[in-house]
Amino acid sequence: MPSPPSLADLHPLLAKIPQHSVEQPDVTALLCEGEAISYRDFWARAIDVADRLIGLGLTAGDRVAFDAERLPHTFSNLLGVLIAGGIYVPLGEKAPPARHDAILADSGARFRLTGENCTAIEGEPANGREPAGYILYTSGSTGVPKGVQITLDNLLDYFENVEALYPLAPGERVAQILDLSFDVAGGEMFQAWRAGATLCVVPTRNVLMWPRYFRDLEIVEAKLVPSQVRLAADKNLLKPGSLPRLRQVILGGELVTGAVVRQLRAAAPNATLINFFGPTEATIYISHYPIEADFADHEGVPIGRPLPGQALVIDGDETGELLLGGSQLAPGYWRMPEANAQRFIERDGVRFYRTGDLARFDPEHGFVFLARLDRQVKLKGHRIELDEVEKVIRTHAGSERAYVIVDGDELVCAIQAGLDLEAVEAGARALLPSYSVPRLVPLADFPLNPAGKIDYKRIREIVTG
Amino acid sequence: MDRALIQAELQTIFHDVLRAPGFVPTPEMETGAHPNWTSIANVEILLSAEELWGFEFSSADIDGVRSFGDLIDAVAAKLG
Repeated sequence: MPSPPSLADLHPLLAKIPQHSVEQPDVTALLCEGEAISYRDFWARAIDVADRLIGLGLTAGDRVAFDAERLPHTFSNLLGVLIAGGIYVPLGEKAPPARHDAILADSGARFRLTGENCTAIEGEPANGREPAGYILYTSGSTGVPKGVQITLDNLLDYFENVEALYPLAPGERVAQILDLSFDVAGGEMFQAWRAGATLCVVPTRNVLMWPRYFRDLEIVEAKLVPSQVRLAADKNLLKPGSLPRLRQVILGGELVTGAVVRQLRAAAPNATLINFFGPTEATIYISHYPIEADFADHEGVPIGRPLPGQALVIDGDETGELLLGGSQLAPGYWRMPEANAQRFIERDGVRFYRTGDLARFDPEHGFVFLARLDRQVKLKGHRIELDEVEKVIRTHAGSERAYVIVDGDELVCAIQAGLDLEAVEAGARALLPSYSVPRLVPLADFPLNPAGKIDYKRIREIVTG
Repeated sequence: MDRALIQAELQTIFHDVLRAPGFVPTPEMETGAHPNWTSIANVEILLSAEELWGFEFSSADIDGVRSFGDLIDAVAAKLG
């Protein structure tokens, strides 16, 4: 039977994990659902998965889908796929079966890991040219899942950059809070395991109670989405000084505001806060901004400067679409030549990814995110920037919780309940043209999607009944 | 405290949080059994129980809570 690659042949992204299994075998690699798995056992389990896949006929570049429920075996499953030279494809734990079917068909997965079972399925064999890594499916603006392919080389560059700037120490406790179909989850896992740290999984069913887990598990490092911080603050879970062990918090995935920074600083007074920015297409995060200054509650925190060897460029004079370049750029979308041609472009012989984000450069703070270009709509002949409308409403409401959607030919804003809506509307009318003043609908809670971000789709369903 | 009494108190919390006065949770029911029983509602249920009985769940306490029955058990354990 073929065997997994020898340690000498392992990709450098993975090579530190077996080292830890020898040098610190009893240190916990994974704490999940009450089970503590040592580096020795974790590596052995991943090797077993790799063995079984190779035994079933996996060759380099084969796609392997796995059920991404965050249970102990899931983590050794995905590591096993990479050891075997495969490409892992997570099937999100909250996604409906129809989406799983679409992902299985599009990826051409030949193997599926369900629980601890590993089976060969109807799929397409690898062509020998695809490097190991993962394919993550994003929603795509058309609603059709769009696969972003990321290689181990992309990941290695990202981790070497981040480890040099924001290192972790062996045995430190690192939070794993995000859905595995979200790319930042890869950042949580491999940064911890490469450092010999302990990855502590906050279960999905209790993910909104993350401050309790962080406090009780003495979490030192975490990656959070601003909406998760807001929700915890809303529910009074972020008590002042309650997270003294937290020393590093990476924020990203959404606009980080001054209010989020203030709330986190109060709860975690010893933590360095860093705003990271980057789409899946540029491998987890591509820019960073250590947050040292104070920002007004509704002010957006800059996205800062590129990680070493990467590039952020404004396509325009002072303000324009943000282009990304460098070694972290994905090979492209999986089997989508048109989308690749549209989004991955060449300028003066250099490859860039068009983000669809409007940004400007500030000499003091670096790059500043302004708005999503695809949140520009045309209603009754008027061009309206939804991000701009949200910004005005938030300023007048004195609350960050204002989210604007389009319902037919009407603008609707879901806004935090309990505010003086007449005053907010009057304030908006003073600044916005009448056609861009939305109807205000108070909401007590704002739903989050599996990535921990505000779920605009669900908000639309709620406010439109 | 008697389990039946805990169940009755928790049922009142569910009615308030889910805004569903006719909803009768059974021990095996989990999040999603009622359309308003979302992950956010789940947090409110846990926090309401803490407020009512004056204790605080640890992460280990709530780790085992998957169903309404588990929640009754967790409250009973906290109340000794």
